[in-house]
Amino acid sequence: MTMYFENLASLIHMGGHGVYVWSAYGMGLLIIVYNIVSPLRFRERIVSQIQRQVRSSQSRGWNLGVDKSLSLSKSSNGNKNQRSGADREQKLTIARQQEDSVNIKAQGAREGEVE
Amino acid sequence: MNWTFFHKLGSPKWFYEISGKWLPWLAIVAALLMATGLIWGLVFAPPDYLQGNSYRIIFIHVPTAFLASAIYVMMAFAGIVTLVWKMKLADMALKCCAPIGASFCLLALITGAIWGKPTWGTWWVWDARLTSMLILLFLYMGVIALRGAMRNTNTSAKACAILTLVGVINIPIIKFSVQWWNTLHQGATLKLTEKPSMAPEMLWPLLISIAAFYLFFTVVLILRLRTEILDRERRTKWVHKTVLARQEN
Amino acid sequence: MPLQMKRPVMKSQGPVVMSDTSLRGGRAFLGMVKRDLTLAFRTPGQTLNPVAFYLMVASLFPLGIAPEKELLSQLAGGIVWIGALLAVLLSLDSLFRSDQEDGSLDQLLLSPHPLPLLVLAKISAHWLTTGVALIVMAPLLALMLHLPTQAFPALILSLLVGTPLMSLAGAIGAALTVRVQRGGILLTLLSLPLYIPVLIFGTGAVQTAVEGMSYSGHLLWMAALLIFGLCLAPLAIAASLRIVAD
Repeated sequence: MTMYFENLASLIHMGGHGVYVWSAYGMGLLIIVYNIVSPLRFRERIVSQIQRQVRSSQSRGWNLGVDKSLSLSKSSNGNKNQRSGADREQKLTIARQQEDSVNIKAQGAREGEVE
Repeated sequence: MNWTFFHKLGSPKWFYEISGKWLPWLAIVAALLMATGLIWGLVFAPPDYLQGNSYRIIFIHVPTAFLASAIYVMMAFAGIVTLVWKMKLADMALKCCAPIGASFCLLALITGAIWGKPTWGTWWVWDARLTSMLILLFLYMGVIALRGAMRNTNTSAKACAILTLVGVINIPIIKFSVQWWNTLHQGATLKLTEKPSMAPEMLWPLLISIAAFYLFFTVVLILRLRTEILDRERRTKWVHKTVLARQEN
Repeated sequence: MPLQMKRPVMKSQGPVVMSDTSLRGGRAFLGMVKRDLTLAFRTPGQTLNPVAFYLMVASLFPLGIAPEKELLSQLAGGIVWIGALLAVLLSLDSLFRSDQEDGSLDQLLLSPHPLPLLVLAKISAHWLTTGVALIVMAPLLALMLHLPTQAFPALILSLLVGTPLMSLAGAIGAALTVRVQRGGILLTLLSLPLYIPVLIFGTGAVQTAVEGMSYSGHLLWMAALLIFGLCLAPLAIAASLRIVAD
């Protein structure tokens, strides 16, 4: 197949119809880009929304991860290294839940004072 | 016949996982086809005897016009599935198809108008095809507006399904009456697209472009649909897992 | 006592025979029409709004375009038809809304009578108050816009077939948007694509009559659409009312 147009200039000029052809293709490109960008932005918005929701429900008493549990166990459990990691984490979960409930009660008391 | 496939299709989770695997491949093929079709049409195909180089707009106008109508019919099918089988995924598909179809309809109208200027001398012409496409755009805008006006997901699902069905029943009536109205007021005019008499050097890039746009529509629909699934199923565990997995990436 | 009944009936009403139910359906229809007509006649100002609107819109065209007789007589058919279309659209918003606001729409949904029948009754009453008034006004407006006299029968006949069709088609949009706040404009958006074939055939009939040719084809097409609408639209409207109710 040979290129119909001899050079770039004639390709853009398109025998006088260049404006029409290129503006039509430009609109086409715009719509194609919109159809790609719009779903991606939608996805970012929804995913970040759900992540925030999950994180806020998680912070009320779930496991935090291995590093934090280790550092906390050093302070609270001392020399109980024989215990399995799962036990340790379970204890921490309960400890954290109790901590949280204390915090919530304190917050409630504070709010009560303000009112 | 084994209906398991159909009922599996109703599971948003299954669709999410399957589409995730297929999406990259579909996207690659769509991009390749699109590039091939459009570049072939723009650069390699010979110019038209009557219209010169402006006919090259056909490679965008015809696929988007086809797709605008086809997407509306797909929405009607999705509406039937929503009303009869109450499949959530069908309603999500209906919701996601609408903006894509409307954008293609708009593109078909704009490219049609731009094509009209060098061919007929005016920016807009009330010929049967363009007028029907304009009315189709009104139908799309109606569905999108109705979806936006209703808060409740269940209600908006069924209402939009009914509206789409009423619209699709109306489309043949509109096409017929507009066609008749047009021939009444104009003499025989050059039709915008005369596909059967196209030379193979022009027909092939057109067919490739049509296939490319269909595939592009599928890819974009899957993109939107996946997010819509996450949105509606946000209380389920699998969505939480998926979203968190993404966070760690 | 053997009870042969299709619809639930209170025991105090005694045994019911099949033929009674069909009679009751017809009476329900007439009762509904009577109710809506009575309501409409109680607020004559509100009921005549579409007619005033019609007159004003038709006057806008010569003011906005030109008062030349030749130009106007060419446009007259279209203007009279478009004015009628817009007036019907305007009046449709109140079709279900007043009932929805005071809760009687919910009562209608609970009625033992078939909802499509009641819906058809409401639309008939609506047409009797709005459509008929527009048809009566139309010759006056056609006179003002210099429509050629040979087209007057075509105008009246086409409006006679077209206005009930427009009431039916618009009622679908009205049912879908009845619980939407400020659903008037949305109703317009939803109904217009359905109105376009009616407009095309209606104005086509008038134009053909102006040229002196037979317009029976147009009228027959519109009549076919009207029958189609009469059969299917009440079902769609009833389904829509039930859907938006929850």
